[in-house]
Amino acid sequence: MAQFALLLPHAPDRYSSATEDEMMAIIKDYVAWTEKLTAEGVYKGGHKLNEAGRTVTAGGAEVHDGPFTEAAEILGGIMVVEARDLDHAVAIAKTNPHLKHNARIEVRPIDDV
Amino acid sequence: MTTPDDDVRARLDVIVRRGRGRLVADLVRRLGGGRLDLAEDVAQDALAAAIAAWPFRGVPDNPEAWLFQAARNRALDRLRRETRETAYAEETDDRGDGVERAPIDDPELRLIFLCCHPTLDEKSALCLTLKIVDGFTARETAGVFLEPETATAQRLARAKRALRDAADGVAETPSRFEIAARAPRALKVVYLMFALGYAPRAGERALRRDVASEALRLARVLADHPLTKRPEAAALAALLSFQASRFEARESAEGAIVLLKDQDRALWDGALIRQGLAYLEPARTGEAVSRYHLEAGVAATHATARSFEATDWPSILTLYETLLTLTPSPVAMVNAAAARAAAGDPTGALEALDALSDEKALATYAPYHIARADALERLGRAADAGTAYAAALEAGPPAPVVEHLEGRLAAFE
Repeated sequence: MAQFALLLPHAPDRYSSATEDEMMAIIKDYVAWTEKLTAEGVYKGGHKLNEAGRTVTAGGAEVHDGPFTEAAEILGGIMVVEARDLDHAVAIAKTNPHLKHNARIEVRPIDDV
Repeated sequence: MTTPDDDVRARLDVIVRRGRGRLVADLVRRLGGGRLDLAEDVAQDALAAAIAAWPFRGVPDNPEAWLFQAARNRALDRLRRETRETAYAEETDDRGDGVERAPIDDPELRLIFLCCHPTLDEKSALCLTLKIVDGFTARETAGVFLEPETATAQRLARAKRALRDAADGVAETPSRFEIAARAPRALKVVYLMFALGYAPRAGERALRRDVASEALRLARVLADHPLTKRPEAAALAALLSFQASRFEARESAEGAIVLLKDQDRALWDGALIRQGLAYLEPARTGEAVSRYHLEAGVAATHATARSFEATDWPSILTLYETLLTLTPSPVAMVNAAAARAAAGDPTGALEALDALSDEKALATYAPYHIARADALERLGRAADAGTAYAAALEAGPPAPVVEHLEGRLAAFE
């Protein structure tokens, strides 16, 4: 078994105008998924990334506040799952509700040196 | 049918709804009664951050502790950026110096007593409590008062300002005398909170059981607590117990509303009915008859009837007519008319309802049109009944009621 990172991007304005009720309806899908896969021993953890951040460019001359407004999408969070191989990890990612509420998930093997 | 997803949603709803009241209550104790606005902001921030993180980290084992920590961090952060002098009290517990600071130890109840401050008029106090303790929006609360949403939003803003201005000389924890003075208002707030959970006017679900259950819990705290233990508090606890006993029967498997006459009485919760009857005993000890006594009487009559037909409708009608002398509100008149129709006098019921046709607030109150439709149906005036059901639909009740009405309407087409 190996570990894979699921990178979950979303459009910059995806959640900015959502009401609490809409947010709850979306979040319950994710929580149900996370809880199910945790119980099955597949889900290994994850982090929500705060949207307030900065980009540092080489040389350190430019530090932007909120570099994300011009970006097509921003990385909303990272999840780690355990799978046999990349195909298996992709099959797991396909069940993630992120694909119901957003466009795509990037599945990347975590290098185990 | 409930799916695991619905269960998750229900669990999150309870955490958020209960969490909000508790967070605001705790923050008000730490920041002072004058910083209700800050407490509310911080609580909202903490909740939003929490629910956004839970998809990734899972719901923590102790979500309440998690929320308190998140709120504390945010409150300290906000205070550092402010120039205003507000301290965050890490210790709020009584310090054993003989001064009774928190005679009410239930956090939500303490917040209700703060919102029921005498500087506010009654309506404002009610709106504010519903907003702060339960997170009801101006739109939802506007429905309770049969007034436009903008009016409620302005009322809320004014109420918060008034409380802030008044709060300098006001303790965040009311004294026992203040509690006694504010108790009637607190009962009303709990009553309305239950009503909002039992029959929300806007939204998807016919019954928001978590809100109604929380109101029942608070009513029992009020009825049992030495400082607030009065016959009308017991009557309210009885009334809400009877109403809550019908939760299971009131919602169909598809989430649609089931009317009293169609309910499976075997689904009524016998333990809650017994609890209601038990609260009727202390309710009988006083001299005064409150609206809660009369409504509990109506509810008890329903709860102990074998069937809809076998219900003692004449007693219910008498109770409603007494209620009208106490609170002659249009809504109470609609209820009395509905009971009159069931008691076998649809002609009188229709007359009473038609006499209310000039009440502007009732035009958008679906139960008014439903009661008219029912009376017309009993009189055999199918076409007019159809028109009245259509008017009820127009009034915009919650979705499950819409489904029910569409079913009734189809019968006339």
